[in-house]
Amino acid sequence: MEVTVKLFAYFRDGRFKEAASTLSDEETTPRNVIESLAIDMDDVGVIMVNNRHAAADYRLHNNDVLAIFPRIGGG
Amino acid sequence: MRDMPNITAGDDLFSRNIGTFTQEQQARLQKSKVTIIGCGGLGGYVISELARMGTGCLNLCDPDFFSPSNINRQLFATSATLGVNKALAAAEAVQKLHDRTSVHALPGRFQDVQNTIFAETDVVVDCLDSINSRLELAGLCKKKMLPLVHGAVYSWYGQTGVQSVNGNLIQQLYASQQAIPDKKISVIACTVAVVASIQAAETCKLLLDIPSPLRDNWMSIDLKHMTFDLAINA
Repeated sequence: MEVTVKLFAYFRDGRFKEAASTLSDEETTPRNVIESLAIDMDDVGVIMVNNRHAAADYRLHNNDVLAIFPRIGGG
Repeated sequence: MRDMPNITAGDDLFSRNIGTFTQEQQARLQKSKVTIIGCGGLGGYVISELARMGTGCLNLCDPDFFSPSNINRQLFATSATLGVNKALAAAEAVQKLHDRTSVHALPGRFQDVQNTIFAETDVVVDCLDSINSRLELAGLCKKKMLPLVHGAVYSWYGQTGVQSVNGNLIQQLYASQQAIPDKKISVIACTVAVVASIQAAETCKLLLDIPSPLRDNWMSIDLKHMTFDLAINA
């Protein structure tokens, strides 16, 4: 399965802004992608799939666009 | 020290706003009431800009006091205001700008602010620094049927958006993260000023019924890679 992964803010450092990713049959959720990129789940703020807010365990489909934003709360 | 010129009688205080705002819109701003929750980083710039645009009434709420580590990014934190309550210092600074903004300092927690303040508010601005407080404020605004302008910052990065009266934006942004302590606290002045300026612009547009793509939407701001992404198009 092919998905487009978009990273935001400091998640881009040492990684990428946007990349195509091939997922195996066992790795089908945003959580799997996040773990494969060595991003700490505690740092994740918002997950969006095809412009809609999604849960970490949402089941991804072929050609989905997955956007991962860090948690930002300072003022 | 030079004598202060008397600007109180001047008619052209907001003359350079005209062209961007009509005279009617400027008069509407003059009658508008905004409550700003948090008078530190984001709050400082939001307060200053809303006062300079000619907002008629600002309620400023913050229980905290200025400390040396605030000076890197908080507009009203100076060597002269160290140890002073942030809402009181901000109110004093606004009063020094001009007399067209009636300013009310609320030096305490927003949870303890009297209902009358929210009853006489058109827009609330979220300039808080804790996720739990942000969720609490968003719930309160929903209950009081008030629009909420959100902003948050970390390092080179920020986010801002507008929760409408019936919206759920803050829940969507933070609902799953209440229990996680925030360790990412580095913040720099340029990020704070950019995010706060967008909050001030969105507040102004709410007050003047000017539509915005940030309504019930949010934007991720990245000053390091210089990108501004509306979430819905991300």
